Amino acid sequence: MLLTGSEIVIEILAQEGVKVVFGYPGGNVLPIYNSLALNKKDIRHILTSHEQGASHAADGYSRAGKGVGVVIATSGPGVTNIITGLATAFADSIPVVAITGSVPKKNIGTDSFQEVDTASLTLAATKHSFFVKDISKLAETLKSAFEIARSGRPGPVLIDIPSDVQNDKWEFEPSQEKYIEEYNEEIEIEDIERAVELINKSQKPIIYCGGGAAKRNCGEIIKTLAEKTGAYITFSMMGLSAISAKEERYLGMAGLYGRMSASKAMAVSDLIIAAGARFSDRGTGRKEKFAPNAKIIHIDIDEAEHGKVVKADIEITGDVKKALELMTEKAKENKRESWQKEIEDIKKEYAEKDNDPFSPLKIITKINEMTSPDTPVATDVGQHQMWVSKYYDFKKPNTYLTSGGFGTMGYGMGAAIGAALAVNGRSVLFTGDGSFSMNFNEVATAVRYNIPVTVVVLNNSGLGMIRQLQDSFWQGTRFSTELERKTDFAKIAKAMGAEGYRAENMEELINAYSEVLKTNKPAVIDCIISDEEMALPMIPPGGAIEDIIK
Amino acid sequence: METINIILTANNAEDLILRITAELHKRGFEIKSFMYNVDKFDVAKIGITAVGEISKKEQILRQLYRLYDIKQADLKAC
Repeated sequence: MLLTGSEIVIEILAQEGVKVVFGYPGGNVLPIYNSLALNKKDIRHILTSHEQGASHAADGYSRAGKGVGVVIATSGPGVTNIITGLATAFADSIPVVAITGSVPKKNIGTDSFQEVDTASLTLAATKHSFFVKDISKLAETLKSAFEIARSGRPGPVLIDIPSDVQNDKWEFEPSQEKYIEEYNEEIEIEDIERAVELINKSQKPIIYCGGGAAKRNCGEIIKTLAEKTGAYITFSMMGLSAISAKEERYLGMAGLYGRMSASKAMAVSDLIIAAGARFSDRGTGRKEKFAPNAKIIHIDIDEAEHGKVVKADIEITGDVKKALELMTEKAKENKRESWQKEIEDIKKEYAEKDNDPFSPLKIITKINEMTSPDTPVATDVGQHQMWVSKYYDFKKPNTYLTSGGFGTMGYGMGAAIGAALAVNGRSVLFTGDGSFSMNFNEVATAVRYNIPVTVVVLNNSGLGMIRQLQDSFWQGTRFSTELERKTDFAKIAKAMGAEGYRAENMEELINAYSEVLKTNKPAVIDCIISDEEMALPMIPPGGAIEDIIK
Repeated sequence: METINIILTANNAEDLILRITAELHKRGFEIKSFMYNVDKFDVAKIGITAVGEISKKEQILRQLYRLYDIKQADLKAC
């Protein structure tokens, strides 16, 4: 059938199973918006307040388990506004397809209105990008974009389509092909055998899980391997939610702001089995001092991750789940009781104290208790992100959405909207007053579509994480981190049409959240916490476990 | 810092040069010379001389190989 370029876009979106797209219209993407308006494929468009919010919402929709997220934006500032969202998705390997309109072909290179070199700008923030100048290539390119976004190590892909190509016509043949998720399970068996030899020789094994293990739902196999071999389990931030924090052999998130018992256990271990983790600097600290006595087995789907930060003794490229299954099958059973004893001592040594009656730990634990384990939980970036990563017990895979790699303040509100739509239910956002101030415009989006996002603001009147670094390493010179704003987030929420609450103690928090849970409305609970709360203990950036600040 | 020679085989795709140069820049390599040749099958043969940390030479090959249109990436002795 003869279709316009914009109609072909809709056909391919439908063929790829896309139900929701996030975006913001503009002059050079109007043909696609017109086709979206007329579409009979039940593709729902969510209009956000800002393109950045749309890009984070597409990311959140994907992270919460709905496959490839889709964001649509116009040329020029539309493109530049989604770049932060694409870079966030790229850093955390999230499959997103961005469709942008571009100036008509005849205007390319004339510095015309809202013209920007999209390919150059998005190069470092995408897995791949396409510029479609020829209508005959459009359908095939769109299909490739989805395939590239979700295959191997997933990531964002951008397709830039000039507005005249969106209006051009081409004969389109609908395809009946359906995408079936497949994993390349080819693993070099010699590598597995060498790895098992190391496991069997080890006295102090640790399984260190990253985002790759969480995405592949490796929780059960990790538990089985740990139980069989007496290994303990630590996570990078992106690995959280793969298994519950209540699991016996789970030590918590390792790294600069993680559980110090987890970091210490890694420091003294003699074998680290890194599963889908990329050894980020926040996870390892000073790499020369990272697990100095340990052999390392590194399993990753992306060959380029091997040797990038840490040189492993055994590099296994391939499906992390398959590799863990093979190791579990072949490893000898061993309880490693002396390792168990040492871990118990480490846990006692690094036990954390909490004397504040309205501390982040208590707030997060209470929200955790009152929230269904199926509810996706997003964060922004800062101290609150570290507190949630340490204290929230994620019991179901893919329920934790956080910008682990890129550290994007302002990520959470869009992500929480996307996640709530993905699960067709509630989501929770933990944020800080700094992060929330960046993108609270998206509360209006949640209100417009009645999306039940509950925002819990851990409000310490400042940029707590940076303030903490100034206190620790810059002689306490607090500059530009004491916000001293008079913003009343509860009133802002109400002005935007959401529910708004202020909580200064546990009773007020419980009352407010109980009210929120009775409705299906978006709500903001502004929790006023002490500005003395710190994300401690911590290992200084570039430091090691012996440099710990308590 | 040492000089390395890289040979790439790739689809002659639009923006490929941009992607290769950006990847080298991102990973801390400075390009000293760049040769690009396309055969009748639209396959590009690319020769690059770059200066960077020699310890990262295997890593840069892996990163280049990860680019969508690159089919082969090798080091050539200087």
